[in-house]
Amino acid sequence: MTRSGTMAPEPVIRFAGVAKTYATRRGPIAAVRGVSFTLHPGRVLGIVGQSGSGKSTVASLLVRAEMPTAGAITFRGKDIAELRGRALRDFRRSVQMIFQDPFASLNPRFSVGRAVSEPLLIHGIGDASTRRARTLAALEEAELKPGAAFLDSLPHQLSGGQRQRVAIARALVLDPAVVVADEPVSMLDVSARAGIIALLRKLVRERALALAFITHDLSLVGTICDDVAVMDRGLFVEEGRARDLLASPRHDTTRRLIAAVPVPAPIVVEYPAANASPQERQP
Amino acid sequence: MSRGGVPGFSSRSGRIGLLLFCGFGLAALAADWIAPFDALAIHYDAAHAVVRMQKPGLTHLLGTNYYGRDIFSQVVVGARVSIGVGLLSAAIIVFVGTNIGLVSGYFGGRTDALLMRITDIAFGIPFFPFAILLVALLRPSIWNIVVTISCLLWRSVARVVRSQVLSLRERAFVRAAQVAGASHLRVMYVHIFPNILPMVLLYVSIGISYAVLAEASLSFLGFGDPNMTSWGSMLYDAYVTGSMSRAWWWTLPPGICITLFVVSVFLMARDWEVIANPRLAA
Repeated sequence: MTRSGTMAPEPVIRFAGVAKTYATRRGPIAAVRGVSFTLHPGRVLGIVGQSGSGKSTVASLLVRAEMPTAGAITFRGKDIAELRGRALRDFRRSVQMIFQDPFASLNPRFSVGRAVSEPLLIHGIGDASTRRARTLAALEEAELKPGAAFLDSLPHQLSGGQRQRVAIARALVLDPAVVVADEPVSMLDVSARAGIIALLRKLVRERALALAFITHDLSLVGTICDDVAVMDRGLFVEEGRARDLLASPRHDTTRRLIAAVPVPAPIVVEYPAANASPQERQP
Repeated sequence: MSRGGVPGFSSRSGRIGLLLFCGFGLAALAADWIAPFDALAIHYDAAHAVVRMQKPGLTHLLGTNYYGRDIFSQVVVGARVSIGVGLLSAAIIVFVGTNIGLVSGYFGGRTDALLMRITDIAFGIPFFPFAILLVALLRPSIWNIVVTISCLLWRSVARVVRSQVLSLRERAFVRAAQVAGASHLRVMYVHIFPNILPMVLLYVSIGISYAVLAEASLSFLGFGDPNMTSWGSMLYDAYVTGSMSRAWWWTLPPGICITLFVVSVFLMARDWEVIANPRLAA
């Protein structure tokens, strides 16, 4: 399969004909039916599709939460299915995930400081003071400033956008090479979305992260992705540079997704001041 | 629930529970100093006759029983057996039940099927016939009563913990820990366990009260340790000597102690919820 990002450096992750079939009581279900792509440092690949298209399965495969039933996934040239021991720990440290629902992805009993330092504890990195310093740095990089003010907060005391930033800090604290973001803004207020998108873009640029951005919302693709792959029923039906694909979609699925993007058409109704009661003027 | 005071014992009912519990605990620990007589000593009067069924008075604060033993001393010494059996059994019940529930719910599949069938079997065994049989086979002793209670009563803890773990393990924060490379043990005990802690604490209190009642019942049925005095065995003695309706000073003290102790644990458990749930504490 041809790649659009030919100018990019060596890929960190390569999917080669990857398929995933789940065995169920009613017979096998093919969630992913053979997809190939690469992730490159400093580039964002958008994987777009409707629910049930297999994009979340791709996310699970990327972080090795699931194993492919066919094809191979390589990380820096090594098949991730064969990683063991130290190599597997390196992989776990290098590939991090940001989840859709920041209300569910943070342990309700862990303070922010505990949640963000947990990956460091898991990997036995540093002593208490180094871990604290790295936790603070990660929080500030996720634009929770000052970081120290958030350390003792519990998730239920934060807004949705702040929680997602905590989740991003948790993903950053191990200094990963690859981040998989599965619908990272779909549960957030529109006002919080732009900030999270801008933050992810900044991180990709500054840290040369390889980001897989999984979404059902094509309107987000233009704001962050370099490349896009459109998924339908377990296959990539169309892929290419984000702006080319948005400008001239060729496949029906892509056109449907573009048509589904709500177009802002604000109609401003101005009440004549004399007729307006105070209640009506309130937002 | 009001704020301030000892964390977790901020409500009036919680403080009353704590006070009662500490009172019983102190009595049990210091029983040898508090009890004026040996609980099993038989008292004689000047004419060398046994002091039977004496009403409460100055020498014998709660009177004496049919065998001429001092009832106040028996109540104080009996607290040690009743509370000891209760606390130890509750600890074993909750430890075993929580671990079986955690492993079963977390791993699922065959592990779950096997552990839950064992739990089903434990549920299928009626408690008292099993307890009587086991104590009779093993000889009556407090250790065997602890073993008997622990053998069966972990079952409901295991069931309830498993059902909670089944829902918790699907939550994204558990996946986040797994993706970050946490081991199964770490996910189970560091990430999932704190979320079932309120339930576990509740079962500690249920376990204590259930074990105290079970010990009292087994002793009342005559399967207690014959060399030890417990609240249940006091009631058993009153029953077999036909004294239940004749000597209120014999039956009321152990009965009231059993009730008050169980109530004290429940009053405290209501406040433990606050310790275990950060939302309520904030």
